[in-house]
Amino acid sequence: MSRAASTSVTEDCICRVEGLTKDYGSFRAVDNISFCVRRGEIFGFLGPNGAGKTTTIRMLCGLTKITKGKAIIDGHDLRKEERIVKKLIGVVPDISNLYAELSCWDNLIFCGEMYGVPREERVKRAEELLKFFGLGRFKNRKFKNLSKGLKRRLTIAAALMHSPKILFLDEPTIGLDVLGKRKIWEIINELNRRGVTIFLTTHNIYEAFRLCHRIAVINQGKIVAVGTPNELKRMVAAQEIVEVSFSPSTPHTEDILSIEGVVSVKVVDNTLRLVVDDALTALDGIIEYARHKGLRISMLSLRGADAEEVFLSLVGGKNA
Amino acid sequence: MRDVLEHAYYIAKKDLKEYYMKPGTISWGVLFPIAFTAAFLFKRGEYSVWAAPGLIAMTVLFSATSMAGASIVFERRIGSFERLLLFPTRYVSIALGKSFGGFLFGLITSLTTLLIVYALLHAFPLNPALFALSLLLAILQSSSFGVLIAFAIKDPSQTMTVFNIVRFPMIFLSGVIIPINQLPPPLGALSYALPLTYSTELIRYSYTGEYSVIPPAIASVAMVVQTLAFLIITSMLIRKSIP
Repeated sequence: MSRAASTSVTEDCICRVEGLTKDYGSFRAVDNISFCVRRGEIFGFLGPNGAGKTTTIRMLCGLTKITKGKAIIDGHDLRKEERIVKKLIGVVPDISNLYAELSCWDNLIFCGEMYGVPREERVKRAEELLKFFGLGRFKNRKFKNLSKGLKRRLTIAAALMHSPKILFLDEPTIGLDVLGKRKIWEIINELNRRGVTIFLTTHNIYEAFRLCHRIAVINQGKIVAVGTPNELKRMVAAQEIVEVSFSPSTPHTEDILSIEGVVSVKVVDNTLRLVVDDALTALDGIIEYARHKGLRISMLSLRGADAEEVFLSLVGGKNA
Repeated sequence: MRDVLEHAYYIAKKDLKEYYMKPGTISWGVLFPIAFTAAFLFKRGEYSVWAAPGLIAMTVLFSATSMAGASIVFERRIGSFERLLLFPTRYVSIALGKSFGGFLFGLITSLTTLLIVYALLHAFPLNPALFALSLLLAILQSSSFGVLIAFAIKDPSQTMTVFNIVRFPMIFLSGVIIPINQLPPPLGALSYALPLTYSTELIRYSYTGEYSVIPPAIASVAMVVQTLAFLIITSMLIRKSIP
C-alpha cells in the first residue's frame, strides 16, 4: 500500500509501468505514473472523468504513443516489441465497436484470424466463448441487432479469442443497466477465477471496490494512491464522517468549519455532513458550539468513511 | 510477408461481408458507372469502340474507390477502425486489406461493364491477355488510391464529397471521353498527374491497339509504381494517425 505509487522488481508483475507520461502539445494527460499489475489479479484504475485512465489504457494497448516512460508486459517492452505485446493482451474498448453487419460468430472468427489462432482452435474457442457468455442462441445474429448488454458481452468475448495473458477493460459497464452491470461483473470475476489477469478502468467507485483486488486511484494524470480496497479505506481511516442536525436552524458552514477537527462540511437536506480527522475533539466542539449558539442537536451520528468518501478524499474532493 | 498477405486477406473478406451492400457503395460504385457507361454509349448514336475502354477504366476507378472509401468511412465513424490497430498486424496489411476489398468489388463491376459494352458494341478486346493484365493493374491502382484518399481525409463524413471532387474531373482530363492529345496544353500536362490517365491508356491499347500519349510499357510501370506508392503512403498515414 502506498500513497506514492511505486513498483518493485521482486513483485510478479505481468504489467509493469514506469514513469509513463503522455503529452498532447503543452497539456500533460498522464504524468509520470508507475504501477504494477500482479499476475492473476483484478487491478482497477479508478479516477474521475478526464483523470487520464483511458489515455493510460490506450498507451498500454498501442493505440496512443507513449511520450516518456516504459511499459513492460509479460517481460516485453511495449515500445520495442509492440506486435509481440499485442498478441499477449486482449483489449475491450469503452465502446462496443465490433462489426455491425457481421454475425456474432463471424466477429469472433475474424478476431481469431487476425490474432493468428489456428482454424480448428478458433472454431472451438468461438463456440466455448459463445457458451460462456450466454450468447449461444445469438450465434448467427448480426452484431447491430444485439442489445447493449449483449454487445458488451460479445466485445469482451472477442478480446478473449486468442486467450490473452492480460485483459484490458476500459469502463466495462458504462451505459449498462443494473442487470447488465451485474452480469458483466459476474463474467469478470469468473474470468479471473479461470486465471485471466484483468486491468480495468472505471469511474464507478462501487464497481472498483467490489471487483478489484487492488486499485490505483488516478487524478489529473497522477496516481494518488495504490492499494487494496481495505488499504485505501485505512489510508483515510483517520477521517470519519459526522452527520449532525441542529434545530431550530442550520448553522453556516463557515462556523462549523472553524471547529477544531473538522476538515470539510457539506449540507445534505438540512443535515451537515462533516469529515473530521479527530472525532472526539470535533464532537466536543460541535456540542460546545450548539450550547453557545442556543441550538439543539436533533440528530448526531458518527461512522467510518465509505468508498465514495475514500475516493473523494484521495482525489482531493472538497466535500464528503 | 506471408502474415502480411494473410491479414490483408482476412480484412478484405470481412470488408466484403460488411460493406458491399452499403448505399454509398452500391450507388457510386455500381449504379453510377454502369449507368454512365450505358448512357454515354447510347447517346453517341453510333456506338463508340474508342470510348468503351475509357468507360471501363472509369468504372474501375469509381467501384474500387467507393468500396475502399465506404469501409474506411464507416469504421472511422463508429470507431471500429481502431480494432484493426489492436491486432498484432503491420500497417501495410491494413492498407493492403482495405485495397483488396476494393479490388474484388472493382473486378465484379468492371466485368459487368465489359458485358454491357460487349452487348452494345459486339467488340471484344484485341489483346485479351493484355486486357486482363491492364484490368488487374487498374483495379489495384484504383483501390489503393481510394484507400489513400479515404485515410487522408480528416473528417470521415466528408469522404464521399472529397472522393467525387477528385474523381469527376478525372473523367474529363484522363482521356475517358476526350483524347488527351486533343486537350489544351495545360490540361494535357495535368492529365499526367492523374492515375486514371494511365489505366485508360493501357486498357484502350489492349482493347483497340491504340493509345493517345502514354505507351503501354510506361503506363504499366507507372501503375505498379503508383499502387506501391499509394500503399506505402497509406501505411505511413495510419502510423501517423496514432496520437
